[in-house]
Amino acid sequence: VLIAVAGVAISTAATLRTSQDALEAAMFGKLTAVRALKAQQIEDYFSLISSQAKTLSRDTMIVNVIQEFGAGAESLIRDERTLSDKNDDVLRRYYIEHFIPRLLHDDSAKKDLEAYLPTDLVATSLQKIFIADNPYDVGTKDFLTRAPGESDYASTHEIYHPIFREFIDQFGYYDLFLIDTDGTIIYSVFKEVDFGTSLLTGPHKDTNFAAVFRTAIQASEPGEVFFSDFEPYAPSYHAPAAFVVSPVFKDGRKLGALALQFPIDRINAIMTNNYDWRSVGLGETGETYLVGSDFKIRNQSRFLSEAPEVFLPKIMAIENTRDYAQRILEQNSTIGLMPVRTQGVDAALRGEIGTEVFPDYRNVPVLSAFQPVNLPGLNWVIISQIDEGEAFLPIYQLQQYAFIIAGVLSLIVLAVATVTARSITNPLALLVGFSKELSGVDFRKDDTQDLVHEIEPVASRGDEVGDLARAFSNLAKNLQSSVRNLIDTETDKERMAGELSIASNIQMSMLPLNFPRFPEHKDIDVWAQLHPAREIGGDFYDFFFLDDHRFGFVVADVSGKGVPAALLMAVTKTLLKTNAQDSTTTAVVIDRINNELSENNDDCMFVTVFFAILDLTTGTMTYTNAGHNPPLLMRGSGEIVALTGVHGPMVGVVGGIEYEQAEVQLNVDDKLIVFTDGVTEAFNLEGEAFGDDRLSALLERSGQLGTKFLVNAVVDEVNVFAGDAEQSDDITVFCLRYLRWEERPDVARTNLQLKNELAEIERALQAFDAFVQRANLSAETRNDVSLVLDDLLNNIVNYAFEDEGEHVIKVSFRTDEHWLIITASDDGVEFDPFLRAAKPNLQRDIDEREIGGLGIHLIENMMDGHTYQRVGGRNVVTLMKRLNQ
Amino acid sequence: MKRRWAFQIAAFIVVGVSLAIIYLYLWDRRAEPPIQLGILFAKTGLLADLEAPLVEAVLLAVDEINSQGGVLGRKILPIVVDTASDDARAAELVRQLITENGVSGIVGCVTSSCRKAVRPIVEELNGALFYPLFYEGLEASPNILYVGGAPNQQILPGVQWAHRFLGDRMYIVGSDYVFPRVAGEIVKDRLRDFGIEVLGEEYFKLGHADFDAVAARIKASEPSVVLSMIVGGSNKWFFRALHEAGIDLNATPVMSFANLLGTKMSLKNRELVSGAYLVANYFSQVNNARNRAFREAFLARTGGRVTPTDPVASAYTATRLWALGVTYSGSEAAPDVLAALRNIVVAAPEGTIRVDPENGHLWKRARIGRVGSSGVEIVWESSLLVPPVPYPRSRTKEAWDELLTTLHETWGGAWAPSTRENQK
Repeated sequence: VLIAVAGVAISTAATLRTSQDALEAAMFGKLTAVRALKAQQIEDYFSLISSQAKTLSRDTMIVNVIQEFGAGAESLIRDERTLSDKNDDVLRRYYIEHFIPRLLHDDSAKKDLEAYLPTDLVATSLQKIFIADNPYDVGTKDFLTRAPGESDYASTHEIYHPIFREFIDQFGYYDLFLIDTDGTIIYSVFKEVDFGTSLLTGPHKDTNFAAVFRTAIQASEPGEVFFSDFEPYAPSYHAPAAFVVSPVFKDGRKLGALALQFPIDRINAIMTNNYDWRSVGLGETGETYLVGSDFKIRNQSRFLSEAPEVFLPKIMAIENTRDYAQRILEQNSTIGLMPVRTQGVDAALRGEIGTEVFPDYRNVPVLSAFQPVNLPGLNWVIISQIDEGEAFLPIYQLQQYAFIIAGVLSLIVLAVATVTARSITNPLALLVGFSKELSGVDFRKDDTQDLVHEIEPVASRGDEVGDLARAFSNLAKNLQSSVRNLIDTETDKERMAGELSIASNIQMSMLPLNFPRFPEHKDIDVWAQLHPAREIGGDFYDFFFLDDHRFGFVVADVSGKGVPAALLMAVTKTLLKTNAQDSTTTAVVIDRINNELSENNDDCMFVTVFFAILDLTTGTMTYTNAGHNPPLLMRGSGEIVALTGVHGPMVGVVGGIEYEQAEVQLNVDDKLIVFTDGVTEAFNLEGEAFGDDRLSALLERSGQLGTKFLVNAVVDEVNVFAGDAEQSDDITVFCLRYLRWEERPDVARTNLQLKNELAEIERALQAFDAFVQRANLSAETRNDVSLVLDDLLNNIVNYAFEDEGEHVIKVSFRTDEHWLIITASDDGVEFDPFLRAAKPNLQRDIDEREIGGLGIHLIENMMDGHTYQRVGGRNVVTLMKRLNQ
Repeated sequence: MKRRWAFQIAAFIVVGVSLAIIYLYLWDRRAEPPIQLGILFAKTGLLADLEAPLVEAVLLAVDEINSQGGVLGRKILPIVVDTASDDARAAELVRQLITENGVSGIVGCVTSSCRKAVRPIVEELNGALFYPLFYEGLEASPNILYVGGAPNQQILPGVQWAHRFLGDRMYIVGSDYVFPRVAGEIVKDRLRDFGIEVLGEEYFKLGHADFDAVAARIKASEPSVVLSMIVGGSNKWFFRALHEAGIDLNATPVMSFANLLGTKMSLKNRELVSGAYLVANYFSQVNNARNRAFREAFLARTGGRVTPTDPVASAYTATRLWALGVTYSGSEAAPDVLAALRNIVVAAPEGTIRVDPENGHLWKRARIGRVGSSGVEIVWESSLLVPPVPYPRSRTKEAWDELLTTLHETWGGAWAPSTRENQK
């Protein structure tokens, strides 16, 4: 009896163990994917902020404005009217009525008026005029554009305030500050109580803002960017605030600094996926969060957000977090408040990346994936986690059923034994043997049919022993079917399918899916389809313009399938696009991504890549084939040529390889079909492969189809061929049709060579005016473009060159019927003025939009396209404006 | 035989323990008595159309909370009563709800006159009223949580924005009862700070339909903006009169402070409103996760017919706040519930809000929307939460109280001139 019971127990436990391991591995795979995705988004966001701060701090307008505000503030304190004693009272009353009561802090020591009230003249004068006497209420102080009085400061403010206000509105910053070298905040859009005070000596000299300013002002180079971490900031009423500061120079002389206060909302939105955890596959208890080196969480906890009444008692029960519960409750926020000191955070702060099971900040065991985040000057880590209870829920359910079944089985064994004890012998010995054997059965694989057969003679008896034997055989069958059912339905399949479809959505969203992508380019026509074999796959394609006439495209196949392949695909795609922006040849691009991918490639995964750059003006296509299937080139005549050249092995295996490249001349109406081996190696039920011949035959038949129908035809044909056979590999088909650039000849063209002197800008503008006349462009176009051109050239002349020598700036204007294209190149320091990431485009009131000098801002608003390239040691900026006919 | 006994004992133990577990499990889930919540709106009478969506919003919140297990492990039992648009009846019902039903709180009243009629009863019985409408201010009761906007959270930001972005020639029109009258005073005080006198100020009986004469006067005075506190059905006639007088809302915008969206209007009349600015704390277009969920649930509940408005969202928030108060205080007693809510910050459909520790109002964001062809577009929102100031600082509390008393007396002890039921 005991042996039988133990046998049942062991077989149940073994089954459970195997399913648990499989589930755990799948869950960790998913957590790692989400973690990597979120880390990438956060890093992108910071690099966006960083490049905006960098660009702004070097902008000509900022340089001028900081001087004007500085001079204005000094003259202001000489103005006698602002010096009377009454001012202090007005300001004091403002602090008492409006500032102190809004402080989020409960600590009364932090509500000491005298600690906040500024004493020096600049601060009191500025605050009196722009805060206390400002007729608009708190929160709308920024409505005041023209301050009363005739001061220089007020005039400067009237000109520039609307521009800065528009800027922070558009890009979602809390505030923008200009600070002089003494640390005095001489301008702020929202004008909280830090306005006018000195970050070196004033009431806010001990804040994180002051600390990062002190570091930034020591910098010796323009364009350096410094970040502070989030910390409660008194002028923001003790809400957590973070700043990015960049020094401002003019002619090598330090003028002060520009600072942006950036919001925690955006970071929070990324980390909580806009409070929608389910759609990234985090189920009911999963979340991702950031933790700083102070062990405080940097975004909202899912548990506080979804069920505060469960969360708060839980953290109050933990000794280390009890003290924080009250403030978390009152602010309904965990940001900067909730302490998280778990194994994972410790490990990630030491620089480790990994996955593990341990108790989280609620003291609930979780499956967790952790890694450090790579942010400038900030030591943050990112965690993704899901409750063990949820991850293993199917197991627990299985466990419950298994225990019930095992229990029933044991009871029956007991009953059997009782009966045995009464009527001794044979049939029962047989049943005991049966139950022993049953215990050794692995229900997933073996069949109980044979076993049941053995006890058939006993089961045919009419007495109780016969009943028992029949019960046994039924039991064996039921046990088998229920265990199989449970394993099949409850574990992997259903859950994973749902979650993988989410991953699949994320992945597909990385591919350009909208065709045609370039309606303004009549010279090119592309179409593509990708069908992953599993929910997520390792194939990808991508295409993009490198400048106004060079078009890059890529088709690649990552070894393997599923989550690991998808991750490598994401990395490769990003690397390729980044490198393509500033490399000139396809071989160099592939060299670089090969080096980067092979560096940390312990799993020996690889990618086959076909990457090409097509010059639309000439039809010359340069390409590098790294281990990929030869693409097929269909000439307009109908001839099909395979581009068989291979220029190196697949990418990611061995670093340091120099890839080669080849060139081919495309003629009008030539089509290039690039595909992955999922096409030629699609198998039907008979085990035949689709093969090159079938593909060529199809293309010959369908030669006259356009790109879209051609791609569809290939995919359909492969599907029909494969029939009911399971798709074994990802299928990607990409087709490009070339049409000639010369169809749109230049209407006018002007080339200029300028010296790096400010006086030359006027010459360029005059040349542009002449060009406008000749090309018969509208006055509006002339005005817009002149503004942009002026600012662009100013920035080049002032900042591009580190030495005093003479340099040549090449400028060209040209236009066809549709576009005005301006190119400016200089051999100065390598500098990309554009922000790579996408920017929010908030619609704002038109009255507020004023024409101003923020270069990049102008370009984005007034031009229809722009690119930057580093070519042959020159910065090449291309601006495009669509012409309305 | 010894072994046999051993087996039987084992079997009994197994069965016994199982029964005990099942019993304990059921015992733990035994039903607790529900906590009662009073819901006080008009289901019949003049205001029924206006107030019905608020009842739905409250019931939506109740259903959501109940489906998540209720509060303090108990279900919420909503007790919906009908004021029949009658203030005296509302006061009676409040007495019943508190003394007979023993409700923990009441969400209710839309009009200021209802609130003013109910207030002494709630105070006398030490109950808790959650009032969901933006209103004229000049009040603060320890037994009322004002969930709607105070004057400095809608009226003042609206006026300042109009002054900054539309221009300083302003004309005030409104319905003739306590909300527009007080709002008009608040607006004029504010404009005096900017050194501005209004071009005109006119009030019309509730339900007034003939606006031709005032439309002509508005046209003649060429305002840069018309500030409107006209409520209810009159709006239809007002906007039609402006249209017929040749006033183009794109050139001479109207800024409405009175929940234009809650007014039933035909499609054609809605076109007349296109170009108008609306001031509120909530628009259904507010973009956050809470609002998306709320909007979806509310639309589903009303069959997609009713888009949530500022008062509807406030009614929902009011109910959620009450439940939170019960949860945090661990008590259903009205004073405990209100006390527990002080200083609390929560995420509501309109975004983050905070309950003021002192005056029983909420900190909230002010927003301005513009009616366009495809609905309202939010053109401005305050960057910070605006703390509530129920008594605008332009006058002392005494001066404001005196204004109320004067109006009350002028209207013969009512909150609107006679001849028509009070609204708002």
